[in-house]
Amino acid sequence: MTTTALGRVRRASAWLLAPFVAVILILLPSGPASAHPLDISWQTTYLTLTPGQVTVEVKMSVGALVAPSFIKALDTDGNKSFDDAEGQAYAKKVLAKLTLRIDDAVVALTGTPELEIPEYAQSVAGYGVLRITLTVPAAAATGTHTLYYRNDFVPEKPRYEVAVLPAKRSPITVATQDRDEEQRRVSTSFTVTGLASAAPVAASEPDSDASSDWSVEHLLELLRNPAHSVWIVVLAIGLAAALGAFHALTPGHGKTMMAAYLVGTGGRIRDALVLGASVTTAHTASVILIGVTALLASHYALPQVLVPTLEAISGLLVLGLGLRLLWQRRAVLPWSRTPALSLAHSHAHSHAHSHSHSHAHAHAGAGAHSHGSHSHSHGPADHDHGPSHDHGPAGHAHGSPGHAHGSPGHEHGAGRNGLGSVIAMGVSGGLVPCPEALGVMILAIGLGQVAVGLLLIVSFSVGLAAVLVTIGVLLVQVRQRAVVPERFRTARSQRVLQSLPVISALVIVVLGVGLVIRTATTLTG
Amino acid sequence: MRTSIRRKVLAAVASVALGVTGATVVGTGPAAAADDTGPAIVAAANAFLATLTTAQKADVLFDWSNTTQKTRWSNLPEGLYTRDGLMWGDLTTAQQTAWLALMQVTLSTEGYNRVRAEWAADDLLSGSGYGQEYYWVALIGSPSSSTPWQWQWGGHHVTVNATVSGSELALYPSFIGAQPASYTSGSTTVKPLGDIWTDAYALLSSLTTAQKATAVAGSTYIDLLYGPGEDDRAPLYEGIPGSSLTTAQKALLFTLVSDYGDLANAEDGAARLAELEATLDQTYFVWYGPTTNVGRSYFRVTGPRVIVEYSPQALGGAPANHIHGIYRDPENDYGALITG
Repeated sequence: MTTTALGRVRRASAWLLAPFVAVILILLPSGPASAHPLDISWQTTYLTLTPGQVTVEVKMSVGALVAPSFIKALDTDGNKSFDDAEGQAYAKKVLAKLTLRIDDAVVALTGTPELEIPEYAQSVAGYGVLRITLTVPAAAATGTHTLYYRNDFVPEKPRYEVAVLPAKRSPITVATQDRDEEQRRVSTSFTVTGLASAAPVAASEPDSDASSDWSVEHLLELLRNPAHSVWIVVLAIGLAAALGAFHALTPGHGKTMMAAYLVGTGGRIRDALVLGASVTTAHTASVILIGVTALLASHYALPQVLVPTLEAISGLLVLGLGLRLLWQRRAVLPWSRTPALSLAHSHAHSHAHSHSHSHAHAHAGAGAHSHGSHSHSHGPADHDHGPSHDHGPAGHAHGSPGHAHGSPGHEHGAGRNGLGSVIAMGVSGGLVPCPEALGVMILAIGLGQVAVGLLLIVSFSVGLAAVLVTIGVLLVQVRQRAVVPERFRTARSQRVLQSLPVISALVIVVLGVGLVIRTATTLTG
Repeated sequence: MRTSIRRKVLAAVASVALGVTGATVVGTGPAAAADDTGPAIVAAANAFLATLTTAQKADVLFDWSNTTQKTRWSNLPEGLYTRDGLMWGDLTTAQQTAWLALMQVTLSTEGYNRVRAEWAADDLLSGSGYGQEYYWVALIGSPSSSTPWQWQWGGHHVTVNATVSGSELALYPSFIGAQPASYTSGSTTVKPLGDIWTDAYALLSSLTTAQKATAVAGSTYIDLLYGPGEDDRAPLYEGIPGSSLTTAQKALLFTLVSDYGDLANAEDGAARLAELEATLDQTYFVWYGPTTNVGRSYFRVTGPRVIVEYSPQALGGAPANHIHGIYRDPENDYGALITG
């Protein structure tokens, strides 16, 4: 051992320098292999895939030596405590630096994430864990999809880890994950091998809040368990009907078209019933069609193809019908030279639409007759007009397309269309299935409860129909009551009334165009 | 019984093929399937309960439906994580002995010795909150042969969650770590996880260059993906699958997972090894870190019925001397499969 003065000085210097050397060694940038957790901000990302969703979880563990910068960024009001608002603000910064792409399309990581916020003291000690969890929609179709993720959030002394996982028991397999050495980035592909099962895996764990969750998905979960009584099935069916009724009250083109059509045609209650029923039947049938077809050919990306196809068909149907109606009603247009024959017949029937003509028919033969300046043929069924109705100043003038009385159709000019048109309108309105009903069907198939699923869909549709029909009947009634009595009619109110059918036809055309554009965007996007 | 013999045959083939010692490869598996251990485990739990005061019983017993308590465990030391139940340091010697008897009858001899060695290591750490007295015990559900229940024991770096349902046992999830990973007790060097590292390294060493290119995914160790709180995650299949291994290599993979499967007593261990063996082809092995025998590499084994991670940590010394580890069954954590 050195005992000289010089030696003592050297030893003293060494002792003095040691802490500085230690600090420098700790603080110097170091490679991952030698990095010390005390001075590391770990970010582990779990990307968990379910059909139709991806959950992004960033777990941030910050070592004691880098904790001050983390705490400063999180505890923005400096009160030595972390609250939810501070957590959300921090999470927003983190999420803004994450990039997630599925099938080369950017997945927006927006929305309010769930947070697990550490205690302040834990964070100071270097044991605090901040967990940010955000679930967003993602590719659901069967088939293979690519995934790319990158974490560009750079706290002090960052270190990264990332894993792409399927949710447990989901029909998804994840291919080899290609990461960079830092694990900031991962590229992989995943394959949805079966139908999307929206049943959350975690839901299998019973929890006390489950009783308050009366979604159809939850009911289906209940139905999986044969131990549950038949009353659950009855309850599920009743609730499905209620859900259908509520669904009918949400915005949708089916109801809009129905309203436009009924207002424009001077529809009758029977039209409203038929329209409501056909919307519902088409709605139910399309869901079942998609479900069953998907069941039969689950290896193809059917929902992705089938839904836009149905949308396209529906859009074209709506557009065609709208244009047809517009053509028929063109007479009202100011530049039209066509006599406004149909408008002369735009009266409202304030009674059930069974009425008799009092004019004499000179029957030249079976079914053929002529009276006055027009002729029309009757089918075998009698055409019974009510005791009296006003044909307006122009008298009983039927539009040029003819006045065809076929059983059981009854058309008064172009302002009103036959049952076929009503059904066609209803079918086109209901052809595109709503996501709720489709989700129920797909979920039912995924759970192996096809029969129950069908039952629920039918029940859902009955609820939907009830509301649609009610809306339709109300529309008819309101329209009838809104008719201006003859003696108060002014030229202006007359014009407004005369314009209604054309306006409604235009609305239908616009809806058709909208549907077509939306489909085109979906298919090309 | 059949499993045990086959395992020994596989191990013998591996030892001949690779020229490694039998001690490394063969290990000490359950000798033979015994009678149902369930009643003995229940009896030991009730014997422990009989040593407690009424107040202690109220503290240690939780309802079977208490999922919060089932998942209330961590590798963090006392003071940084709040456990519940009874703390080891607050138990009398008789109570401690009764609890150890419960652990002994549930676990195999090697499993019991392993967790005792991991536990004892904590006494060597300085600072408040470290040491054997800061471990906790709890019973979730009443010990019974007819209804499921769980015993929970754990603290810093080691936790065992044992779910018992009739004649079946699930020891998942359990935290299998150690710090220090090597220490001296008397004149003996103790390495609680030494055989695990040796078996993992033997498997890595047996791989060809091409196989290593698949199995080695990074040059430095990473952290646990399936640690405390990370329940209900699907296995990440990464690295080389059992189906791509030769018979000898597959035997080494089986030896490695058996180090964890052998945690259970002879009877339940045999059933566990059968599960692991049946899914061996779909079981993957991945390595992160140096491919030399330095102990600071991470590895993971993931299969349909197993998740094992071994993760060196630099916090508090050399990474090789501070190991975090996890043992799970993705289908049967907390006895999900056996408790209905």
